[in-house]
Amino acid sequence: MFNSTDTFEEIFKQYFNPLVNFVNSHINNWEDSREIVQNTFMKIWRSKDKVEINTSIKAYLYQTTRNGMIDFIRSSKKNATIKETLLNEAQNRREEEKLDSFVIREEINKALAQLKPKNRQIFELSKMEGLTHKEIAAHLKISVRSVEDNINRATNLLKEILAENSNIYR
Amino acid sequence: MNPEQRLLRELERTRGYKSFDVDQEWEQFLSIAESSESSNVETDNVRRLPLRAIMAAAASVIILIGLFSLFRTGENVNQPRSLVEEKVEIPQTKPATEETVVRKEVTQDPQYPITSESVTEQNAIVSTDAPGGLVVEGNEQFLSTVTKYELEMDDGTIIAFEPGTQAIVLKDFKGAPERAVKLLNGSAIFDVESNDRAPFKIYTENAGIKVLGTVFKVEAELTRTRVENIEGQVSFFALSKPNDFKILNPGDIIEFDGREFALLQEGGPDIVAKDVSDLKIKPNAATLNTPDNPKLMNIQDISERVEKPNYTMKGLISLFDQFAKSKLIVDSKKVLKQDFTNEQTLFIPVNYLYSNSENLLPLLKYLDGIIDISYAESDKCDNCYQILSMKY
Repeated sequence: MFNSTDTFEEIFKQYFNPLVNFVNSHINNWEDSREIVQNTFMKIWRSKDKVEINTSIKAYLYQTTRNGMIDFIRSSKKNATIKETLLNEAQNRREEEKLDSFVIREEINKALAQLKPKNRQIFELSKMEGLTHKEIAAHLKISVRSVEDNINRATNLLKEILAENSNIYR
Repeated sequence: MNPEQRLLRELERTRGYKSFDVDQEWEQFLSIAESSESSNVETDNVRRLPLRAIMAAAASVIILIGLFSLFRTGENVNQPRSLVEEKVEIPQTKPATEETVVRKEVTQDPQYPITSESVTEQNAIVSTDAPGGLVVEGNEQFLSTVTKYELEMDDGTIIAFEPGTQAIVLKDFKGAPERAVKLLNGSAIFDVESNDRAPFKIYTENAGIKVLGTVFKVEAELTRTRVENIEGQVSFFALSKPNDFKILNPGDIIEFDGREFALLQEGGPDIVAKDVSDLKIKPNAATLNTPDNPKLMNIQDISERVEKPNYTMKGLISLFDQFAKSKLIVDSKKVLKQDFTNEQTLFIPVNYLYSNSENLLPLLKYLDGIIDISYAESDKCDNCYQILSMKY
């Protein structure tokens, strides 16, 4: 499955942040979340020559991370509700979909990083901070038309990304 | 939902998303992975030195004896020692340090030398080194499945784990006084080889199941344990009251929610069908005109067909044995031995199995959930049916 270190590196870099965010959404501790995901990849790394994955990489990573998270919660006696969520089969499917969201978000972030700083700032003020076009225009001392153009440009790029991810998006 | 709405929804769902520098994370990961690999090489070198290996083994034995005495104090004598020790208190602060000490000693046990931290076989991680607070000892292995995974034990017992199941299983059942499995989470079908001297026991968070030789399914989820018995008899008990057990007959499903037992289904061959029409059997047009079988019916045509559970061949044979003992069918041994082919296909010719319809019809209905089967009325006795063919 992992033919080379390069392939493994690619998968690591693609999924590290979505998985950390996914774990953090349960345990609400960034440092522990990082450690759990690092450990997950370490387990896979150690058995990478033997592992055969019949499911998708994402499903495999999700399952292995989920196992790691359950062990962490069990060992540190964290909130039983979290454990219950993770062990519930119906929830389990929804949780895997939740990971999809984080994967898309990682793609969105990568795309945002490609935008010009000003363009990105305007988009974030609008879509993430919830400011109106007029408020942004006043804040940045630019025209409302310019705000709209910037937002349209960023939105179109991000729409393309979502379309590319339609196979993982439900 | 249009693309913009989807975009906004994703942004909303992932509010507070944090990005770490993945290049830096990868460098860190690689450095840990490489140092871990080099330390493994060193460990291998140590194993090649007999004196050091003996000393390590001696140290392991001493520490294990110490741990044994420590754990023995709070032990329930009715349960296998280490398999119920998931509840062992692990220090909340930096548990990894102590855990590592325990694991290291276990891995140096000369009888069960560790080959690597975890061995991955076909989509399941089978490891002598369980993560988290689980203590895995000498003859135990931790198992975590990603997809379906079938484990065949050295005594012939087969355990078919569902995806996402975690369990601790003994490595060797042969010679063990008790063949024990701790089902931490998930479900599995157990096809247990009969052995009067070593009972087979399954433990969940708060319940236990004891059998001698049978086929059954167990699901564990937090404090809930569900047992579906397929063949033979199973005793099901709460760990807090092992003497107050419930007996499951074939087809019974009982659930324990941590406080009480509930009979969810009372089933098996004891179910009595009211009449043939209840089974919704349609005549098979292709064979209906055969003069020898004027009333041939094909049970595959049942409109409300359900998906067949994935039972093993051995389980099916056990099931037939059970039915033969109950006088529901005759000549089961002869039939099964004669026509069991390598392709796991079982054809049973005409006339080998027949019984009174009052018993046979519910039996066929029950079997239909397991195998493909066709049968017809017989003139061998009044109101008799014959099994024409079965395919598994």
